[in-house]
Amino acid sequence: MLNKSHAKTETVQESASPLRLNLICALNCEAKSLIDKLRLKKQNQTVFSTYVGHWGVADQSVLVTVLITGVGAMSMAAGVAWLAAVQNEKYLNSVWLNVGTAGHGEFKLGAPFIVSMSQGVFSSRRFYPPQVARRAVRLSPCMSLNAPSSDYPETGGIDMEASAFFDVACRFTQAELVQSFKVVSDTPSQGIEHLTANIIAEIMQPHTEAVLVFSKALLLLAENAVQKPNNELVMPQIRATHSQRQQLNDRAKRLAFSLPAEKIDHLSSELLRLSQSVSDEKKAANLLLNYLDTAILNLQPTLHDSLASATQKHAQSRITQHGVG
Amino acid sequence: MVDTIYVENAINDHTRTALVLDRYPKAEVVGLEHYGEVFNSSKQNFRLQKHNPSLILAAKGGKRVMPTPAQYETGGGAHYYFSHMLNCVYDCRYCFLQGMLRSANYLLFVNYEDFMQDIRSVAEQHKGDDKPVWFFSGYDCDSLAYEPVTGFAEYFIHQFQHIDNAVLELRTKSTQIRSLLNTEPQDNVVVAYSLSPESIVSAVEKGAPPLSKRIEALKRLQDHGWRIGLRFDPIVWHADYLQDYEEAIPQVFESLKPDAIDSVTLGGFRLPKGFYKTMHNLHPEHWLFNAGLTEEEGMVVYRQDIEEQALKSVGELCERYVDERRVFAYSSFNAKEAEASGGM
Ligand code: SF4
Repeated sequence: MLNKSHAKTETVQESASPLRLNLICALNCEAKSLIDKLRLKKQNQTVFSTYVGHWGVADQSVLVTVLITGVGAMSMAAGVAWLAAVQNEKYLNSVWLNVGTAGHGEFKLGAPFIVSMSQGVFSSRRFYPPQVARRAVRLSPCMSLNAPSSDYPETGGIDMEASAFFDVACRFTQAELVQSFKVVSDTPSQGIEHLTANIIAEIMQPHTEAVLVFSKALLLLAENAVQKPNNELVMPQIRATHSQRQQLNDRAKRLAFSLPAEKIDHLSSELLRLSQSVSDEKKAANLLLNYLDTAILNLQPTLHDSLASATQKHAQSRITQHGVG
Repeated sequence: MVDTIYVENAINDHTRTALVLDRYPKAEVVGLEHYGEVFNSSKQNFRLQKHNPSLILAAKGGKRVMPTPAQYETGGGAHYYFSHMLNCVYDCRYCFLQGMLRSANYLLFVNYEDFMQDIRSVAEQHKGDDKPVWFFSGYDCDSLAYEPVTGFAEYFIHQFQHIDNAVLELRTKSTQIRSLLNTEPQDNVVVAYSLSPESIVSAVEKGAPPLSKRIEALKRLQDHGWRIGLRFDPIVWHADYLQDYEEAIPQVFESLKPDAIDSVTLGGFRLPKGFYKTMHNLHPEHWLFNAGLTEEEGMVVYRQDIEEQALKSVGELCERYVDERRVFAYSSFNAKEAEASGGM
């Protein structure tokens, strides 16, 4: 018989992660209007300058981080990797938005655009960020150079960070949630000579709302990225190998998604009872696995229930497409 | 409404590219070297992309016409399939495309002429066969759902007129049949509809026309003189599935001329294990992936008792209306080469 105190319980599914928005800028002046608007607080003693806070979107609280990486591909890559390491992997569906200025051969000064294709000078790799979130600004390709330039492509933009940003940020979340929002700061007729920190902040300021609207569209997608069960199956703590634990988790997840709350509760107590009744600790995992397998075998979906739960899930999705809360 | 269209640079000047772009005057166009840069890139999420798929226009190189798995038998001779498009405007939860493709963007190959050339040469190789060679379309998309944009059926049906030993089977759930109703019916074209009871359509065939509309389309096609086929594939199992099929099947057959139905095929829900894993990760909450399934030789299929009962009972319902020799049931438990469900 297992010692009762040994039969602790653990929750199999992790609880729903909050939504997270990472706004990545090369320069402080590019981020200033966002930091002010969202009333973010500067973090002390971090490797890179970061500002954090909560943004209320509908009735959800989104964790926002503005990261200032410094200029150039290396700084951007290091900054993004650092932030991803500091945040932990449970934010697998974080939104990563690069916000900054760019030169452009065709668009006017102050025009905003979302990067449709990004390529760095040292790599043949091109990034085409999937355009799923609704956008209200135009698309444009953007070439990332390793130094400021007044040589503008006929139809695209130039910057120094986007390509490194995509290369690194895409490793930490879904590609659809990694985007770059640029505002044209220099053109063939108005080159980079006129740019100061104040001017850049002024160029960015009118687009604060547009950045937030686009962020919100991305958060709406992030919210849809992964479903978590409404109910959690509580698994007794037992001795199990890694593979047994994986199998138990898999079965528990299926059942948590498929059964109503009261049945999940009943199942949780049954599992606890079973784990306590077994005399040989090593057999507990197999016993629970068999029990869960039988429960799965007996699942018989009814369309009436599944339609009702789909409607409920839909109603629970609270971030809507329009307007910033 | 598509708001982003990627166009391979090599087909910028193709007439069909221009026709498609004309349909979307507000969409933004992004040029690219090869469709794979967008379609096959890593870390894409099919489920997210389904919210707002982009359109990719490209030219299909390499092999364009492939032999179908053995069990695709519907009474014809040799069987091949070709895909002028990957992905679909509908969103059936059981569709294997979710498990097979990284992207949910619509990939449309505009070089129809090259497909036709390959089809002609395959047909030529089967000149001496007893039975005509069968070409399926709609394996990786719905054949008709995007017709107003692609003009696919309009082009290919016309081309098949000139191949006397070939049959074209268009698999669909769509009611976009205007081009077919405006054309003289052809003996070597079969329009095959995937059908499910209304409750299943609403539960797992998001965006697809209701059963009643599909029946209406079938009836109009049959009245116009087109050969039609019926596909209850996959039969979707749930607590009251039999009752649903008992209602749906008379509704289907009594609206049509059963004697003039080319073939009826039945199959259970089945997927290669790898596809199933991907799909289950995308939709862990869906009951379709959580109940009644087992693994059989690398495929995830309904448990044998469930599948046997489903094929038998739905088959018997169909045989009340058509001769059993025209009813083909695909069993996952004695098939040599298994085939995934959905995708048509
Ligand atoms: S099963 Fe057929 S109709 Fe449904 S989404 Fe897949 S291709 Fe489209």
